[in-house]
Amino acid sequence: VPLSALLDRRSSPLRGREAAGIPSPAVAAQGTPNAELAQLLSQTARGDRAAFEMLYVHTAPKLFGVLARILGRGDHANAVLEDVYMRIWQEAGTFNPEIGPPITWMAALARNRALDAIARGRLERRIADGPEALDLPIEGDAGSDQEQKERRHLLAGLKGLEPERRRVLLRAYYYGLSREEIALEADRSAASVKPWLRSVLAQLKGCLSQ
Amino acid sequence: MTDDDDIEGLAAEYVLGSLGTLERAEVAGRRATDAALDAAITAWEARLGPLSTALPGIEPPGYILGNVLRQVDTPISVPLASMREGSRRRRSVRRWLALSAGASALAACLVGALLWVFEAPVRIPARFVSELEKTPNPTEGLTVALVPLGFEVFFDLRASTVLVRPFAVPPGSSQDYQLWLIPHGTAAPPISLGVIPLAEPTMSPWPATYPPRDLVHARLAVSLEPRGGSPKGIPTGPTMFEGKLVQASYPLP
Repeated sequence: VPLSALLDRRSSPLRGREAAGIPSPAVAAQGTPNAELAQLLSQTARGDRAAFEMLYVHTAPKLFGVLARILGRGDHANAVLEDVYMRIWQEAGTFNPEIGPPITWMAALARNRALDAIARGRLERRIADGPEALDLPIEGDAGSDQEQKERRHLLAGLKGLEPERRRVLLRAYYYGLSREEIALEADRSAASVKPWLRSVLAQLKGCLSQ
Repeated sequence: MTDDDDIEGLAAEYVLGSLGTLERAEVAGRRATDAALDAAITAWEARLGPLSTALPGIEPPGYILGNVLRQVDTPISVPLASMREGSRRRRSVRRWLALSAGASALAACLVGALLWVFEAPVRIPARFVSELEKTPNPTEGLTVALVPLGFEVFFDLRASTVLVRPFAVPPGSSQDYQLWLIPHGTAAPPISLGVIPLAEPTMSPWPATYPPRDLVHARLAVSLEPRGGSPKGIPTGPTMFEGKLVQASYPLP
């Protein structure tokens, strides 16, 4: 499923893979089975350094992709990636497979660290200008069956939103935009963006529960 | 605490990442005690999570794995004291001490009681605590009659939170107390951890930009600043309280 199908196209000075900081296809290839990642997490929780290293090799590009979109590629994203893996080393035992796939848990952990860093206002970042930055092929067939199923479900829910709402929501998520930045994206006043944003999120929740 | 009653909207925005600094900190703190909010956040993380894993990865610089493994291989130990105390006894000691005047020598013992010896450290410490004592004032000599303990600051790296607990600190008439982190072994300026509310303990998230090892051997200081905090981003007023950051052996008090 191309993500571009969910996004309105707009003209932008930034185009293509280079502008978006997109890696080569070889790097993009991911998809370690959940059971293997869960096993590596379990071994990591017991202090197995080799398993932890293997876990890094399998997952670091995915987590770095999450961080680099929010923080930009550079020292900040590098430092946060180190921090994230030290947390994974320390917190691997808290992973609960009932909540979701291992990579989703790790990505959420990474994303939260990046958002905390942004929220503290210590980071300057460059947000790619234009939806082409998200004009990427979603890896529809990558990952486990569970991941693919959840991804298809979410994409179906997103299709239930109006195109402009969907575009702004996706950019807000991938770049960790603040309300002020979302107001600019959505061409709304700062005062009206909070109720608008919450209505978008409530609508998405409704679409997903159908 | 935020007065936002829309837990669902608050959780969704927390996961989306659109909340401002204060609101994000409040939600992170409130999450620990508000099960409904915590469940809503977990649900939104599961809901939107597939977006994170849907896009292609980006290869990180090769040196990062080496850095991470070095941290794993070279745990940091803080062999500062040899006493281990149960948390109940520790708290009662602290309370007694906080009520004792001019007890700076005993306060040093208290710090000792809060420490944990790394006999066979295998992990970077997950919790740090600092007891900030009143900075000695030459004009007051040895007749200080104030409570020496000003603030307790507690870092829980697993929960990514910083708890700041004020003791009986008199409020400034038109000034605020501001907390600073002073990393060890660097010429970098102190890092502001924000203005400290005096009415009650406050919880805020710990930023990911500072790895746990940066807290080792670091110091904390509280300066008196204009209302709202230092306008320059660095301490401008006198240092009122200070303390060393050490590993804590007990969970969030």
